[in-house]
Amino acid sequence: MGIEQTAAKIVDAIVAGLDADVAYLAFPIVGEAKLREITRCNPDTVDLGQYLDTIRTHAHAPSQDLTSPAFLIESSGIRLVCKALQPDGPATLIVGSRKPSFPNDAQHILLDVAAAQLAQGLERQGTARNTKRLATLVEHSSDFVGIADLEGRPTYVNPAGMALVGLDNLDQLASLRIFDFVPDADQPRLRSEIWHDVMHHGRWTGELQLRHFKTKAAIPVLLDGFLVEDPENGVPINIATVTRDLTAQKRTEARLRSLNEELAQRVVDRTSELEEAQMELFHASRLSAAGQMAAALAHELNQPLTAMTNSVNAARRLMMNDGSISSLVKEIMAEAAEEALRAGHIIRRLHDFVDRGGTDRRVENLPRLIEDASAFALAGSDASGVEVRFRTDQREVHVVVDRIQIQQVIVNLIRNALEAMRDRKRRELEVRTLLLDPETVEVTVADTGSGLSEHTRDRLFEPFFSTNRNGMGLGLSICQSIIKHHGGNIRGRPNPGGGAIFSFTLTAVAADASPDDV
Amino acid sequence: MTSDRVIHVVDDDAGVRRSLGRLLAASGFAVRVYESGTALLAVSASLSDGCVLIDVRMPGMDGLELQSHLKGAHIDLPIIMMTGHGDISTAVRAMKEGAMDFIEKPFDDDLLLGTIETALAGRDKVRRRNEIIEATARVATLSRREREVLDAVLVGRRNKAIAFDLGLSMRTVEVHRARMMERLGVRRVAEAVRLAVLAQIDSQGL
Repeated sequence: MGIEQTAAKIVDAIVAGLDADVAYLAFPIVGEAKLREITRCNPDTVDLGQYLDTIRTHAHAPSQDLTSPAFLIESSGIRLVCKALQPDGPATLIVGSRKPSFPNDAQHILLDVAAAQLAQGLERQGTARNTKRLATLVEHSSDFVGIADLEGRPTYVNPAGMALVGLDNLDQLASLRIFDFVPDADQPRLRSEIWHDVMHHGRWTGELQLRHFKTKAAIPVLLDGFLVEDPENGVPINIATVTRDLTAQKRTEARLRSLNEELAQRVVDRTSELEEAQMELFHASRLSAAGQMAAALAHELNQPLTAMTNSVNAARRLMMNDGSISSLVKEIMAEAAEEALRAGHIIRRLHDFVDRGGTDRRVENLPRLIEDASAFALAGSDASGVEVRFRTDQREVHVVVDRIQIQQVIVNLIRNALEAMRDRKRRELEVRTLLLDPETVEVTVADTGSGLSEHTRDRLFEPFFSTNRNGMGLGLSICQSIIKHHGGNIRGRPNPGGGAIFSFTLTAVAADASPDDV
Repeated sequence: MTSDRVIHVVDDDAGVRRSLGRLLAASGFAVRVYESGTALLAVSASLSDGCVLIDVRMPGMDGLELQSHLKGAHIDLPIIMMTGHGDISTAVRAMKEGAMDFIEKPFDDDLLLGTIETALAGRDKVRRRNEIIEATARVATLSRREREVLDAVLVGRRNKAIAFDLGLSMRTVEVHRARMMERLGVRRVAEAVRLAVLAQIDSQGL
């Protein structure tokens, strides 16, 4: 029976039992904002409309103490008794009579009984609702919620809990103990530590594993186990748990951990890769210094040797038709010419010997190549206090080059720049790449150093020319031969803001090109 | 001595300029020397005959740049590039750009004079044409491997690199290389390169 029907019956009983002229009940209904009203009156003695406003005013007055005697009002020949039905709610019962004796003791007792009945009904209505709400919450919770008796026999597990451990219906619980929910590995902990804490301290919280009844797989969970006590007397009646499945979280953690490890490994790999490349570059620059020296020597000696061969041959030709010159002199001249040529061959062989490694051209990622070379060039103490900027073309640029050689050029240009800025206040170094057209990329190293005098500018790439006392004057000459060998150009010019700008060009290719395409 | 036997020598080295001038003069040529490409271009309007001998490696404007300037100014005198050793790729570029020939420093006088005679004669289109046909025919006799070795030499690859590229041993590459030279009938790498470039010109229909 609903609260409304119960209330109506009680009100009818009051009117009949008390022989009342008027009765009024106001009470809240779950889910409704407006109070529900039940009114009764004796139409022979009372016009309800005459009193309703008065009654409502009192009904909605601040609630009275439940334990105090009924509140009595006399109004226009009627005596009204008001009784609050809820400690902090709006439910009110008002009963009235025209009889001056109202209410006598018996009527008071009857009124109290009726009020108590109504109050109980209203309270039950609220409790039922709360219980239902809690039950829904438990049923729909995505956590494992379970209750067991004090012997460890489960009496209830919510649907999420059943699904988590692979149980199909609640009947299965009858044959189980809570220990059956945990894999062997965690049994000792459950039986000693956890059980003990729940029973003696009322609660245990921590990570544990459950066991899937079908697959036997272990399920990582965060378990909250506690005692449920009787609210009346505080005696434990149940044990319960709210347990959260940590599988997804553990998986995420593991993935994060492995990602972290992978990242750390990649940093280590990349670092050692870089170190290796730097070592290689370092060795190569040492080794090829000899080769470059030989190449420069060969070129420089070739010129006087060419002149000498030509001169001797010119003299021979002039003497050829002159009968006054002895054949011995002609023979000597021929020998001199031959010897000069032989010197040329020796130099060629020397050049071949030191350069035997040959060049090894591959498709290289230019920004990456520059990055590695710069890291190497900037490693020394000369670079401290220098502001370094990299501006690389947004487009991915690949070149077909001998990586070591081109890096050597970059290292050389950067070292020269650092050297030129050593005693300067403003020390800025800029390395940039620019795609001049789809097939040509320009690499530029600009500094704010001592700059280039006009005299220097004309002789920049001349071998053995140096403005540095300790320099051999081979650096830029070597750079030039490397770049020319790669089909590019190198040039130096003053930096408008002070300092020097060196730039060289290389042929850009598609990333998947093979060296033969160039 | 006719006026079309003028040789223009461009070299930044004074010793080379002077000695080359004397050698060519002793061989019956009229010689004009220039210390830079700029100096030659300054009088380019008056260049109508003869042959230009250019040092490929010069400060400022180098031999290849001078060549392209001359081409731009429509001066089509035959050009012979003087290269340093190992400058095969530069030589190939020069020839592709239209140089008649190249010669490695230091050179024998007979080789130089022979090259100049050929270059001067090469102005005769028919002779040039025959030369190209001859080169094409000789290159065509090469086996696939020999051809691959020649192509690699042409881009400046050395034996070790060629062996790596072709997946062969150094020894095998040396054998292919020797056979290639033999079939082409040449003794110097430079000559082989020259033939190969001429054959390429033919295949490009120039």
